[in-house]
Amino acid sequence: MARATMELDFFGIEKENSAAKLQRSSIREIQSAISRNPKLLRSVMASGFLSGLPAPSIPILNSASSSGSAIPSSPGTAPLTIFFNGTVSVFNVSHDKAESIIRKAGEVSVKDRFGLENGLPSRLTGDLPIARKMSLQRFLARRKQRLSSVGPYEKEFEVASVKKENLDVTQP
Amino acid sequence: MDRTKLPRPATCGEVPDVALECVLGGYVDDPRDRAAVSLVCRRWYRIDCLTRKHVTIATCYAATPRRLRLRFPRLESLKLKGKPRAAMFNLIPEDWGGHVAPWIEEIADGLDCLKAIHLRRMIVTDGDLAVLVRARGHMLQSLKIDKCSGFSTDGLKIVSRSCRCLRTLFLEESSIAGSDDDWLREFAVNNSALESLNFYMTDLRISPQDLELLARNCRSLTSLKISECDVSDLVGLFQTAAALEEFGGGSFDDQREGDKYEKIIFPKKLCSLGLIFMGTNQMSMIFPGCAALKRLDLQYTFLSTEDHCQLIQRCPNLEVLEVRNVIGDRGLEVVAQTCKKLRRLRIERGDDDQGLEDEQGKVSQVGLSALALGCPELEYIAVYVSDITNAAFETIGTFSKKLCDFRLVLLDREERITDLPLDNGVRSLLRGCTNLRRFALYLRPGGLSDVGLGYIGEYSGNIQYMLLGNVGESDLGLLCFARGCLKLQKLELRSCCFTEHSLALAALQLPSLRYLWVQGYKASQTGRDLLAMARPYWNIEFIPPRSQIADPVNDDGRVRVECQAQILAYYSLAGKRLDCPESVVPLHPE
Repeated sequence: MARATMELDFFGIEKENSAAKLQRSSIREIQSAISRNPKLLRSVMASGFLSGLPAPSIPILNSASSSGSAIPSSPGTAPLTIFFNGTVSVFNVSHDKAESIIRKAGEVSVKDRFGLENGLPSRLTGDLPIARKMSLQRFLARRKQRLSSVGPYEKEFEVASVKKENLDVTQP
Repeated sequence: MDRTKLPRPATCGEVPDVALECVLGGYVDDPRDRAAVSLVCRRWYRIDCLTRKHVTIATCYAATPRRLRLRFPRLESLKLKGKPRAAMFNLIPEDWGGHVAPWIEEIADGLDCLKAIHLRRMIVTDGDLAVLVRARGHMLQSLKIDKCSGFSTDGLKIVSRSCRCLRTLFLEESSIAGSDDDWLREFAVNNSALESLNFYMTDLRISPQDLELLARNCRSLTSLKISECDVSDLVGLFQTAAALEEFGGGSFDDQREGDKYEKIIFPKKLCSLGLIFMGTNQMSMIFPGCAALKRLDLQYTFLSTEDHCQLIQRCPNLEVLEVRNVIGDRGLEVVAQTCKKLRRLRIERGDDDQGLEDEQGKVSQVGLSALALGCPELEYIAVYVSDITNAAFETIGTFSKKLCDFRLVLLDREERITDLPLDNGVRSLLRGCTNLRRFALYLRPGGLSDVGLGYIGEYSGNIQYMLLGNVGESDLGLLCFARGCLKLQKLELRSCCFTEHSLALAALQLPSLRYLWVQGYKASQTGRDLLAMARPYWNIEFIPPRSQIADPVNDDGRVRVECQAQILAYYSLAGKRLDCPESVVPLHPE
């Protein structure tokens, strides 16, 4: 039995305050909506969705009750859909394999998970990184420019840090 | 003398209007007193209307320009604020609103006594400036265009040609188009009354000669804060501007050798200083004047932790200090030992990358506690910390009795914080600092429990403004918070876990709330839960999530990030906004 994937209009982007509209969408759009607010997904799923909507059609870490998905499966396997860290992954696995995966996931302690994730920002700041003041941002950018325009004999680590800086510091 | 024979006043036993005007007009300035006066009776209301000198409109969409003009026809000074505070952090769409045009129209039409205007986070065009100047230029004494955008150096030239009695021109952090540098010359040539000129943190270009000319023509110039201009070119300026008490801006280059900056001698009366890009090698040039310094801005310098220690220990008269967290706990200990008169301290967030900031550049409970113990005059503390404890909050609550404004952000670089949650510490601070009017606390999940959030509500006292980030654990915490905070007028919430429904309930419950901003919350599917707070005169705006340039400062737009949805709600007598751009969705029940 194939179930349609569904898009949830989390933020009312459609500008209509009437009943929620359900539309077909790609996994990727759901993924991006989830990655914007992973806590939202957990709370929505925990609440079993608001009234008026069908029962969860996205299987939750439970291959046993998996009723299939749009992805074709080979005999003896069923899709196992895993929501983790704002991403959705679907695997075709045998029942035994699925059970061992689920068991393994349950064994990993919070601390281990944290260590593996290499400083996951959302655990430390919630879902939003701390915003930076524009005036400071401009200053720090100017300082980087000045550092990177210095001659080739400057210490290597300074240049390396400048490159790393470009990637993650300036997010609003 | 027989009391019954005293002459009766002109108006039936009451104080005559003329006397009331003198008393109110001459002695009652505080806006809260004025608000109270205007509510006594119609007569007092009318007299307040005629004698009130200054009005601040905290949200420009809260009232109509016409209403302002009709109520306060003799207004002398006006302050208007547009975009939400979050605009300073690049969180508000540029086109959100806050156009000054309708206000300028009304000012031109009827506010004939206006001589001071302060626009903050608004959109101001050259055309607006032209209209303003045509109507009020001959009388304008103070023009502050503060963190605004939309105008250019052409607009500045219009101002310079017609506002010859301008004493204060403030343009700090505004985005000003145009790369010509003759706008300053126009001021220098047309004006001799200027006392304060500020174009700090702008990209305006100038020539040092024009600065000198300005200093020569404006003998009363006491405050000058400029954009980037190499300090070695300012020798002439400092020699000419003998009355200068405050200087900010300038620039240094990286020269390791050479005495390019050794010839600089600052004006004798200088007591407020902030030099951009000043480095370790140039620091000593300000040592001679350090003992006289009351204000020091090191936010935009290249100094190390040790440099801060060396510098600050020479400044025993400091009252205002602004730094980045590179100052470190060590630097704060020097402040605590040296700066006994310190009233205001701002510690901004430096670079996250350790390679670019001093490794001692972290502020924690150690530095904060020392500060509270050593500087009893503190009224304002704003700080980004890397670590914090309940005990540090308690120390502040015990010793910083004059504190009116406390803001703390817990940075997200350290995995482990010594002492969370901060429930008890926050309670102690709020109970101890009874003069607090503004309070900001930005933590991380686990930083403050629902109980702690309830404490904030319970012990908020007279706090009028709060920014809370990553506080509480659930809606229960927010609802408990909302049972308190009796005087809270403006609330900003970020990165919390509250549902729309509880946000709406809280907004309805807080008795003094007139302004609410939220980003990062549990959105419902349709946003309809927000309408639970719909009520007359309460405007609700929804800013849907959007993609924006990650680093607008030095990126051409390749890297984009998602900016999460926001809720903005405020009391308004102006009705629904008619000028919402695409990025703003007004919500009202149909």
